[in-house]
Amino acid sequence: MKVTIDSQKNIAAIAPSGRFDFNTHREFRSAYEEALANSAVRSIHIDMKDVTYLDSSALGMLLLLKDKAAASGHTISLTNSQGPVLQILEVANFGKLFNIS
Amino acid sequence: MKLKILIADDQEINRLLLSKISTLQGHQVFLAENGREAIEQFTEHTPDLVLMDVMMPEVDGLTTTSIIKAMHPERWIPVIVLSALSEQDDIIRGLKAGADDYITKPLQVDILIAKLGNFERSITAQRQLEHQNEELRRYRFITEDEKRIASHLMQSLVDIKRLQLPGVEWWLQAADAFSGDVLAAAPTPAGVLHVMLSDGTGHGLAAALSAQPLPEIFYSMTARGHTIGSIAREINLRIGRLMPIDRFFAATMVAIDPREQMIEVWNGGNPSTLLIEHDGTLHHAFESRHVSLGIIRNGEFNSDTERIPYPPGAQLVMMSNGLMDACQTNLAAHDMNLTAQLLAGVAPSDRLKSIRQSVLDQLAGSPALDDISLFVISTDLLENDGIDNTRPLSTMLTPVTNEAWRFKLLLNGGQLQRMSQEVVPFVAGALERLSCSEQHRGILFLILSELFNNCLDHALLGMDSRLKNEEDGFDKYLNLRASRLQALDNAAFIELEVNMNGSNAIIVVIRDSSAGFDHASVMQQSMNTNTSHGRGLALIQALGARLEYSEAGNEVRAYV
Repeated sequence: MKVTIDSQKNIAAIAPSGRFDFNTHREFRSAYEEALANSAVRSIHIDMKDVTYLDSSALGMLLLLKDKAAASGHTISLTNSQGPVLQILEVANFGKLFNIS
Repeated sequence: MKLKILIADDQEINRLLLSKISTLQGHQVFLAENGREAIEQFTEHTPDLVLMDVMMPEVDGLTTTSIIKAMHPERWIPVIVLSALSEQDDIIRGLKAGADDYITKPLQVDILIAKLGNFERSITAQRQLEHQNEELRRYRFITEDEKRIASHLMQSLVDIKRLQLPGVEWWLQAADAFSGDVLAAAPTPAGVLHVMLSDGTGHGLAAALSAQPLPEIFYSMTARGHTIGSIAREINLRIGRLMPIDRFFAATMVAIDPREQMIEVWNGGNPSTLLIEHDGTLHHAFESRHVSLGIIRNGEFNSDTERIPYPPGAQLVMMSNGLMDACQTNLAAHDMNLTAQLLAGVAPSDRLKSIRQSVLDQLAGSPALDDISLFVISTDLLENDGIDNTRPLSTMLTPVTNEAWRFKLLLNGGQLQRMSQEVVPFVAGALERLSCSEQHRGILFLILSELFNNCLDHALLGMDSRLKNEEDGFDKYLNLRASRLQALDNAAFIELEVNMNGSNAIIVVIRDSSAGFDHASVMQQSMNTNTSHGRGLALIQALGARLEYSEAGNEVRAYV
């Protein structure tokens, strides 16, 4: 899973692709651990552009990340959500927990 | 393999020889001088192999053979009969008695050694087989035990017997042997039907296990008459304490009050619950307004519900995300009109089947990726009053004890603001502890809720029910009520008293700080069964309780 770090803006972008579900767990975790470990990073953007589907365990992973990020003072945003992915996030009311754009 | 060998021979010289040969081969020996001793030793040591002389005092070798062969039919313990050549008939009789082989006397040592070696190999193989069989039996037992426990667990998540309620249809298709979806339905003591459909993270055993607290909380709180908002709050709290953050439950909680023709929904993370008119068109979609249960952990949990009146013949369709996934584009979460089209033109009694068929067609035999669950509730089939009012009151009031008790609760304005919804379940819970039969609790709950709500709404807050009959009246009513409740000061109070006089007669007294209200007109409205709401007072009287309002209307007594 690609992690792009923009040291100027202090942003790390993580871009999962395809089905974002339980099978993505390890990959996603090592991606956000890399981002959290980088001292230049203050906020993490999860880029949902190439995600076609996300299931409840993906929602759970996002919550786990949010917990970890809150403990270390990072902010989390979900960017480029569209179509069915946006619908799933809306039904789950994740707008109450994350910045969604 | 070291064998335990039992040697039965009445000749000391033979015993000595046989035991010497056996021990030299590395085996352990037990000795018997006759058949009786052989049986005793056999019972005590359960040997792997027996060397049995034929001619012995007390009990002869052949009889002994058939006795010990019968002792362990499940286990192969070979018996080698030792016999002189002249006793050839005995050999045949010995084999018939169950002996596995014979050795002729006088003993030839090399033959005996060779036979011991053969038997040792066979016994070793046999023991391995027995061991493997035992393992298999153990695994089978463990698997069966786990299956039994699992099916018990599953039954508690979807208690089929409890779902057998008039007007309630459901469907569950698990993606795995286990499902994490919870389907539950039960009436409150006041006859309001509560329904819960919950979908836990993931599926399989982990999901089924983590969902265990849900039905328990739902059923016990519903039985006490708690609101669906309070039940959602409690489940959220318990899940938050028990589970890691990535385990949560999308849930829809519904309360349908057939007397008031009102429906109330709390939806966190599930697809919209659809209120369908009799002809199958969409009346209202209760969208997910909250996050799933178990995520909010810091007291910011929102138990607000959506509450609207429902039209006659309305049906409610509740579903899990698995159903949406299975239908993919056809039933996308926001395509409510399309969903409704699937229901329009279908007879109300066939609508669950219609949705199920469409899902199965979509799946076309491939397994579902997630658990799929569905409720269709037909409001016109619900038991209207929950309480069976065809039975005369006297048969309902089975005395439990003749203990007298008195319960009194005084709530000021601030307390009413905070817990107006919790007062009746709280009192009902207390009455449960006092001597009071279940039937008593049913009617007491009804009396307490009706009188308390009338007192709060009409006397203390000065609300007029006729407002509900206007267009958008229910919204107006609820908004006005909420703002008046917020304006109450601590000089306002409601006092609630339940008095069991010891001869199984109960008096409920509710008084308040207001100047009273027009109780006669509320009573009159209640008697007019054509109005959809406010029939509670009529029902209380139909059940045989006597109501007495004070002149002003700020005190009411109910005699049960």
